[in-house]
Amino acid sequence: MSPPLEKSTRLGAGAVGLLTTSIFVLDLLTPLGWADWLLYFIPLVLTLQSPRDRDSYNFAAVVTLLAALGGYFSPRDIHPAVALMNRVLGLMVMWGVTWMIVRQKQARSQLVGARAAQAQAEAGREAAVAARELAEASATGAIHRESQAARELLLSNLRLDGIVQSAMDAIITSDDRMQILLFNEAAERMFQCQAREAIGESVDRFLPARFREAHRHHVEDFGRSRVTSRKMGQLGKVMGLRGNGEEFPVEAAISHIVVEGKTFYTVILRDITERLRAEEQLRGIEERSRLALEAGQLGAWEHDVATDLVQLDARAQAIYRCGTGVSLGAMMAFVHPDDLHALQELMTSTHRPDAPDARFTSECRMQYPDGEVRWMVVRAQAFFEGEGAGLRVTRVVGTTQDVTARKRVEHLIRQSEERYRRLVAVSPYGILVIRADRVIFANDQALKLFGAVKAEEIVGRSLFDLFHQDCHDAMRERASELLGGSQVTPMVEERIVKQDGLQMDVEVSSAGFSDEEGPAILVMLRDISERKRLQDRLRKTERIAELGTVASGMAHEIGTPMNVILGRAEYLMDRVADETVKRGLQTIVAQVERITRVMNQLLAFARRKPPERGPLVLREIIENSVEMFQERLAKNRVQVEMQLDEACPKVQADADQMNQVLINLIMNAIHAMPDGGQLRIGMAQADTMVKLTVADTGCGIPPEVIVRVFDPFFTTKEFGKGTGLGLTVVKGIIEEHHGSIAAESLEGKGTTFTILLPRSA
Amino acid sequence: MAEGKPTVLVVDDDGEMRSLLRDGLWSEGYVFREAQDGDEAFLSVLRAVPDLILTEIRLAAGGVDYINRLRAIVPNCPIVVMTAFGDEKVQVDVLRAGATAYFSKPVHLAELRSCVKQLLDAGRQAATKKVVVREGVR
Repeated sequence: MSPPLEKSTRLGAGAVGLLTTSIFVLDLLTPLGWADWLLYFIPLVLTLQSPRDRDSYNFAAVVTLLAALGGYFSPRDIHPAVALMNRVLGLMVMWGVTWMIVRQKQARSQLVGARAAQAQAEAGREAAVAARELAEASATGAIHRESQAARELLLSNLRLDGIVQSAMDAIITSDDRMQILLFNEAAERMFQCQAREAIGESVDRFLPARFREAHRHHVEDFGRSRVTSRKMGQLGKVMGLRGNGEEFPVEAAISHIVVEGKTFYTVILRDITERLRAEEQLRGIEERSRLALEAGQLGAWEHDVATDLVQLDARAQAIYRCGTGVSLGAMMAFVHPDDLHALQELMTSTHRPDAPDARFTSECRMQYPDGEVRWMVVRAQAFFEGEGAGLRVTRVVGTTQDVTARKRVEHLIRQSEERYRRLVAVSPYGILVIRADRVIFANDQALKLFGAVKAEEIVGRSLFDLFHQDCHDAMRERASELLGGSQVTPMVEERIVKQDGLQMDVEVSSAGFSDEEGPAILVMLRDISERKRLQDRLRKTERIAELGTVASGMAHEIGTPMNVILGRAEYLMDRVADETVKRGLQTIVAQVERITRVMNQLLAFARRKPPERGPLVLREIIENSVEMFQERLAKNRVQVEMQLDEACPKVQADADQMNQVLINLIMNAIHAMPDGGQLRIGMAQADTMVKLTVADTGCGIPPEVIVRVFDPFFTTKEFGKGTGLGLTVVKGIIEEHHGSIAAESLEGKGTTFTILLPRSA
Repeated sequence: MAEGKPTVLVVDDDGEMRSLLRDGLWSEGYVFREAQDGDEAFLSVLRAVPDLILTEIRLAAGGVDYINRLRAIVPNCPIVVMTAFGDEKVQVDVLRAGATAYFSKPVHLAELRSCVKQLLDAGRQAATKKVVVREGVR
């Protein structure tokens, strides 16, 4: 008790003593009949102010004694029996009043205590612990003052019980042997165990087995310590065990008191399963957003519009190379000057109240002082407060992502694309991309192959429109093969139909591939019509050569019989006079001569020696050849006009073969001009070639014939005159020399053969 | 050499051809001897040297060698060679081997006749040789 309180109490006690003594003296001095002893009520009432209820009763006892003494010694003016009865009645009243007042006082203090405890219990666990301590303290006090009424203990217990049972948290009290003495309703719910089952059991029952030993140690340590209460779990996780075997996390506070050498532990527990779950979820969300920022390499920032300060996270600080809590201007210090304005505009645009929740995504570059330039993607959203006209932007939240690597990859992809685009553009192959039998892409070369001018003429059309009908089955087969998984099909020859309806032989190779839009086929085409033509020609030439070889082998076998026929016809002709027979014999002779010519041509072809090509002055050959025909030219009244360029370079050719070519051409010219004409022979340089022209002013060759003049065994000459091999041989020779020959003719005007021969190096 | 009439040795493996030559040149009044192959011709020449030898070279025991050997034993007798569709190379080889004239079959009788006549006349007048080269039918 504090000294001031003690002092006042002492003062009160002194006053009461003085007053009581005065009343006693007065009572002694006054006659028995006077009821001045009733003045004892005054000090009695004063003692009722004492905090100790016992004082009142003690004083009442003193007053009874004094009243008895006073009655005994007072001068008797009335009958002592009457006075005794008065005094007994008065004292009984006094006792009654004292009892009532004390009772009332106690009830009031109980009521106040219960209310406070209730409030504390509701205030929370800490308060409950305090209340509990308070209750325990009062209980302890009660124990110590056992001499005071046991009723108080009972009341205290009731009060405590009320607190304990109404508490939201589980409260368990155990003794030092860990046997449960108290188990409240919240504990019943929490552990799913009735109090009557729990009381007397060991605390272990509500602990998972693995914690039991440690728990015991902790509790004993705690009991020995001088701390009276502590939050549990500071030394590790605390788990509870429900009646159904389920474990759950708890938050616990423990307190202990020692009563008569026995330690009592009181534990207040709260089931934090839900809270942990919520915390876990929150952590999960935080972790996810952190991971998202991390994975996206996103720097996050928040601009407070009112203060113009920006808070940046670590990555954003690294990106903007500034600290956090800087102004927007400072944050954008290293934004590339070219992008800065646009970015600022965007930032400002989000502030406009007519477009709340404005957000933007923008790319910009950062240009750091070291010259490094990096690409960023900035996404931001503005947040507003207020209503209607009062709507104001409060903050802009954004992320900034370094996309330099992506940009770089995009650039590389673009480059690569560009490369392939060019490759496709300049490819000598026609390239088509086909999806679902339709052309979705065609390069320039493909357009050229198909004779198209615009891509639209090809793109979008069915593949089957573009290829010849005969190829369709094979194409379908290949398409299904490619779409079925085979990567590349072997090269095949097919025939396309050009825009103008003409057909063209192409070589086709195709490959299957798949992209986002599904499987497709890449087709590469090459014009092989020229190669085909060459192959055809080669085949023909080979055929003639073969024929020549056969003819050569047959020559001897044929020669003698032919000679016999010829000779016999001539022999007979000299011996018959009959004209009819003579004519018949002449026919025989002519026919043998014809066969002989054919055979000689064939043999000439077959016996060709390998040409010995070297630098050759073509002019000399021409002049020699013309010289050989001088007589026949004159006979046929053919004038020769030669325009031979003196400066013309030598050609790379075989002299004999050139001779043969000229002889054939001059012979043809003579035959074309049976009634005379002009033979023009020209020679001049044409680029890397030497051009030789042999022209006549003869009858000319009709167009349908001129295309066939180089075909073997094709002749227009009258029966018996031509072999049909002359121009074939000429063409063969020229082509062997890597030259070319062409024939042009105008009917009635004449024919011109133009030969191009490579000049010698 | 027989009195007045020159002797011509005709060598060919084809009977019809020999027959034709005999008939074709008959009118000139020559004396004909025949052989079917090189060996036979050789024997015939060894027995009696003719005034002219008209021979194919694609024969059994024939070829350019055959002309060589023949020329060795008859240095002054004109040798006229005929062969079916012979080419220039054969012609050159044959003439170098000693043949006097060369014809490629089929040959016109008239041409042959005039050549033979010319050679025999020349042989009769002098021992001077004249090389006559003729092409066959063109």
